[in-house]
Amino acid sequence: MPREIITIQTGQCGNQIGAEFWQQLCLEHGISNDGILEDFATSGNDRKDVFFYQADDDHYIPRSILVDLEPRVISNIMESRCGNLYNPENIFVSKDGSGAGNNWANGYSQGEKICEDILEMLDREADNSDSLEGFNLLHSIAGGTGSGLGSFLLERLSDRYPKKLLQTYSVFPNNENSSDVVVQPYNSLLALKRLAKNADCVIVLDNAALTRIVADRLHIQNPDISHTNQLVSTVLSASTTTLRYPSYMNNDLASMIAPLIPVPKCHFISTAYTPFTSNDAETAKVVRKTTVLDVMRRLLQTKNKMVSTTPTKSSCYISILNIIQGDVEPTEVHKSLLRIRERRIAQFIPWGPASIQVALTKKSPYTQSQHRVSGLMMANHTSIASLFNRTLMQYDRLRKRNAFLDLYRREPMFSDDLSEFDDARETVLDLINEYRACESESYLRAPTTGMMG
Amino acid sequence: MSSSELDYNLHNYINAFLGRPAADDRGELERHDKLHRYFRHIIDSNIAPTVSHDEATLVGEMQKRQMASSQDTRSALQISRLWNMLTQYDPKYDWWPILYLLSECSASELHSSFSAAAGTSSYFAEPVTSTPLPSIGGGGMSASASAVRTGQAFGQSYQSSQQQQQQQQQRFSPYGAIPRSATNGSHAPTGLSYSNPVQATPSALEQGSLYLHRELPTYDDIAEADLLQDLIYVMQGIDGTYIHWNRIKSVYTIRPDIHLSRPTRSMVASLSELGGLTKDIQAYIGQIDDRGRLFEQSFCTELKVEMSDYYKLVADIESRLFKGPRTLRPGESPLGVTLRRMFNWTIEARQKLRLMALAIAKVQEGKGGGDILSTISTLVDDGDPFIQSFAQRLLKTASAPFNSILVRWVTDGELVDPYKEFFIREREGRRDMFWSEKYIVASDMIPVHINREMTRKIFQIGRSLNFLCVACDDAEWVATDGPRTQLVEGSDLSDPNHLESFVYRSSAMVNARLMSVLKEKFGLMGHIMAMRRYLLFEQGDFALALMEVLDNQIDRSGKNIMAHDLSAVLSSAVRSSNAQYENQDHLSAMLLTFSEEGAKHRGWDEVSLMYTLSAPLSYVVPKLALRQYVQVSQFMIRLKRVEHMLNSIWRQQMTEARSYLRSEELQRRKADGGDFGARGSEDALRLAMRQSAIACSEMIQFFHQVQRYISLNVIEGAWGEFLETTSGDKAGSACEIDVDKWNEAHSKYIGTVHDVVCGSSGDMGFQRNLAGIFDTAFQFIAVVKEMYSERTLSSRRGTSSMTSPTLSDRLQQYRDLQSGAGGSSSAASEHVSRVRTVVARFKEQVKTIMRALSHNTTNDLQFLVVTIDFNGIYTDTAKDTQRG
Repeated sequence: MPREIITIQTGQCGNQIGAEFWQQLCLEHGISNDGILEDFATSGNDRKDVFFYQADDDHYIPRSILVDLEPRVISNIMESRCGNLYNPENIFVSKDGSGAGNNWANGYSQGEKICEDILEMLDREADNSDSLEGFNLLHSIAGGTGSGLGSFLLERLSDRYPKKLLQTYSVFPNNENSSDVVVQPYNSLLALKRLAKNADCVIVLDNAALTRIVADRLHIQNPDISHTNQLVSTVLSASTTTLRYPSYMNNDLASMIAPLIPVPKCHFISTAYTPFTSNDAETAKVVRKTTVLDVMRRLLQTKNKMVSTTPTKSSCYISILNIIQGDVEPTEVHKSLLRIRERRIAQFIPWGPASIQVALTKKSPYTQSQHRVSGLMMANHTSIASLFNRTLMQYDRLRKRNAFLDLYRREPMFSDDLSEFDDARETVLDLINEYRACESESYLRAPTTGMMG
Repeated sequence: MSSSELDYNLHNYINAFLGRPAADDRGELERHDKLHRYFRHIIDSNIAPTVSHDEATLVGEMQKRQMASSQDTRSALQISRLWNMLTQYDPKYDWWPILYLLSECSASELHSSFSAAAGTSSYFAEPVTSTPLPSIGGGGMSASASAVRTGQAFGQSYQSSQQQQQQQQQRFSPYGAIPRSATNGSHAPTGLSYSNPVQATPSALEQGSLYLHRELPTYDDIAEADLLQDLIYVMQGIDGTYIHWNRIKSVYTIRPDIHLSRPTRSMVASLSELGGLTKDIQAYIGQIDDRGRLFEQSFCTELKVEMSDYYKLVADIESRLFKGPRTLRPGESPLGVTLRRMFNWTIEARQKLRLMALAIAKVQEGKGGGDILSTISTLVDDGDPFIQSFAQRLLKTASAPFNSILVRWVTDGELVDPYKEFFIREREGRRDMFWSEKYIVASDMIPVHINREMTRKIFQIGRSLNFLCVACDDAEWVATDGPRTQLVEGSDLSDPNHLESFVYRSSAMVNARLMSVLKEKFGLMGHIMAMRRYLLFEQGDFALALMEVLDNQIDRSGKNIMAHDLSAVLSSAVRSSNAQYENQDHLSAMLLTFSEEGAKHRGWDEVSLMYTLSAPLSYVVPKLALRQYVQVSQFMIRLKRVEHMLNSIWRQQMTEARSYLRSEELQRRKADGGDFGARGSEDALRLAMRQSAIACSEMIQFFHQVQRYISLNVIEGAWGEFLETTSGDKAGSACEIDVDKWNEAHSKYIGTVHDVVCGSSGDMGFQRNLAGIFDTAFQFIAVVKEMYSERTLSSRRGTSSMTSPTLSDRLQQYRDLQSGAGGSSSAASEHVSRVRTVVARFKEQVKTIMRALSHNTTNDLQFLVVTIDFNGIYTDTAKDTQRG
């Protein structure tokens, strides 16, 4: 009963961060690039079977499905050192290989065509698990494949596995710099609707914030995608440590995200991580004193957050889960909590109990860190609405001009009308309003808005 | 006493001696009158010395005198003992007069005995009146002298029995002559004596003294040679011709009719004391030979050695004596044996014999065993080097068996002590409790030269060795590499310094060995860690798996649960978690059972994990600690169950909400945004759902904080402390971790956890504090489950084909559900109110608990309140009432 999690990586971004993630996981579990357990990794107090399964020859295979509509990224992965790690049957590359052209609608409609193949893979993987806990979708919401195909898959997964948890790691576009994909507000909005309606938990990773962290925290002058991907994979592996290294608490996905999401609708989680290190930049190797209190305090600082939001005065935390890793005196946690409470560093919702929850996890014995303690914060914060609001405003600006809509009208969903856009906008607006309502004391008595829960 | 009464009594007294005078006999009356006047004169003359009427002082005086005269502390003690008995007999009675009289009499007798001896040889320094021989009646005595005698007789008759008085009366001559024999032997004064009439002069009377100065004889009745010969026997404890054993007084006394000069007498007394001592010592030796125990026997051995030395001395004196002429005139001593020399030669022997007698007396008073050594040790602490060296010899011999027991104990761990004389005892019937109960320290048997720390170490060494041999199957090590190797050749363990260094070295060695055997061979720490992992649920995935399996079983009624069901549940949980890689020994030690309280109900929610240790670890870890694990484990299972069920409720809520949205979406696409169900009931249901979702999260958070506190603060905190104390990281403590200290640390660890969880004195503990809130949470879970299952049921009623739910079917279900809910809006509102009730109760209970916890000052529990109420929602009552 390992409570398996099947990872689905779609599109360029999803596959790139996926590759980083698996590499990191292999490192932490002492699994070689070929999936063979290293000689030193025999202690066996970790749970590899959450994310891996063993083939007949005992080598470890990730429970992962790689999907892309163009072959470039996946073939890079297959040619890399870790190429042999994946199950070749779990790799789907569209036959025409033309990609989705950064068009959500294209990705979505291609999904209809390849649906059977992918669902077949998913069913196989699901049957291969004893007690499937849920799915992890890795994608970006700006492009075509990750966003469109990802949205499609979310809907289908929701239908096919109604009792399983659907978690996504969604990379939001760099809103301040919208040059790379002009239709990104359209794609984001449409994908956001699916994230709001068809996912249980969305880990929001914001490219703008990631770039900022790479530049400011890691002091890398010209950050490229590999650096941000490294950050994402750090978050990915850190957020799954409690599942992979079981300890007293939070050893399955449900127990980890349940305290974070009191209201089903508000399931967008932002993250923060500290301290960041990078092997690429000498300047980032500065080792500071790290205690639990230091780490917990820094996690609450905006500069360490991987989402750029603009909090207002009334913004508050709905909940916080800190995953603390490293050489920690367990009783330190309690003291740190008291300290933070005393200083009133974090602002919480006024209508119900909310607190910082802490999970201590063991550290992989095979990786070295210069820091005594590191921490990941997963937080449900109302200021996430500002991110959605930005997307909404950009969409509105674009939509006002009716720009690039032809690209979408080509696809079946938009062939008749553009009501899907309006519905998505309504959903996102509704979501923004829900988060705003959460900041109010009267939230519990407020009339329920359109959605259930 | 008034004078008339006195007169009356005096008359009676005189009449008692002389008979009532006939009224017409003038001469007789005259005589009576004369005597009466004389007696009045004596009484009025205030003959009593000016002494204080203090009985205690008097008794003290008597003791002092007794000591001075006989150098016998025992009879001096006897006096105070008798005096105590007397006062206890009648504390109100004024004993002083009698006591004083007796004291004075005994003092006079002591002296008079000498004068009596002199009297027989008709030798008087100052003859005032001739003393009549006992056989001859009184005659020609002056009135004053006879009066004095009468006075004394009066005093003596005071204490003699009535019968004797009558006897005296018969034997008294009508002329008032007092026969000396009248008081002879009537009481038993100390010393070689018989009573003798006192001579008094009127001047002495006037001075207030009742007694006369007497001269002592200056030569002896018997020849010194005879006396010496007699003494040779006496010194060996055999009666001689003149000197006999006085049973009553337990001393050798010279025949009363033999008079000796004062120096001779005192020398004879000293020499014959040897006889008494010899007799005592011999008696003791004989007694020990018959039924002695080891320590006493070896003590006797030394006594025997000393005695044979003494006999040699006696034999030597005797041989010198027999070589000389049979008779010796006074002062003549061709071979040098004189009474004085004999006295001198035996001074040292007497000292030794006295010491031995003293040691015997003390040993007999003591408890035997190690106490003997303590007793002798006290003698060693003497300023006199002679006594010191003698006592040391005595100690060395006497401690031989002790040392052999000790050596056996500290090298082999065997207690060879047939007479229970060692300070470590094996307890009867406790052979199964090898470690904790098998041996105990008998504190009254610990010799004084072994201090507390040493005692503990010695106890620990032997016990550990024994444990290694008997329970740990490690006899080989004990035999070959044990503390025996630490025994330095030639070092004597009876020397406290050697013993100490040996004990310290071996103690470190044995402790280290035992700990390493327990840890490495029997995996002590492995078991303790396994208990932490599984009973305290450090192994999270095991906890999760167990909850999962229990969840599947929970619907079965308790009666049907068999032992094999429980073991099946456990093994299933083990199989599906990382516990499967656990050491098989640890897994087989685990057992899923019904808890003590749960035995009656036999429900799945009353199960608990038990851990059984096998020998020898079961001897080491106390049962109480294991029971505490079980109790903590039971609570943890409950906590984990609540958490697990709340999580599954949460999951249900999430996925249901998602499914609903999905169907709504599909509906929208198909029907282009048609209206969806009855709005009114939907709102009510939505409200109920949202409320339950928020309540669910509230409970999850609450239990999360409780769990975090218990796991990270209580368990891990205590565990860290336990590891720190036992790992010996701190310098110097490494070798000092013996099993007891380890055990103490372990008991503290699990005890701390247990106290927090199950409560201790003055503290409720989580178990009782949370009992109500657990119930509420389970109720909540039940209500919410019912709510969802009813929805499913109502949707089922609406659809006929449930076999293969297609998208449209499910959509249909939701529509039916909504419309169905519309039909039974009362059901929806009922759910709403039930959820509300349960949630309100939960909030109330949380507040109660927080109040209870915040009063807790023993540990940092009060700060748990802060983390539960992190954003102050529970304390802000204003908001609460507003919300409520």
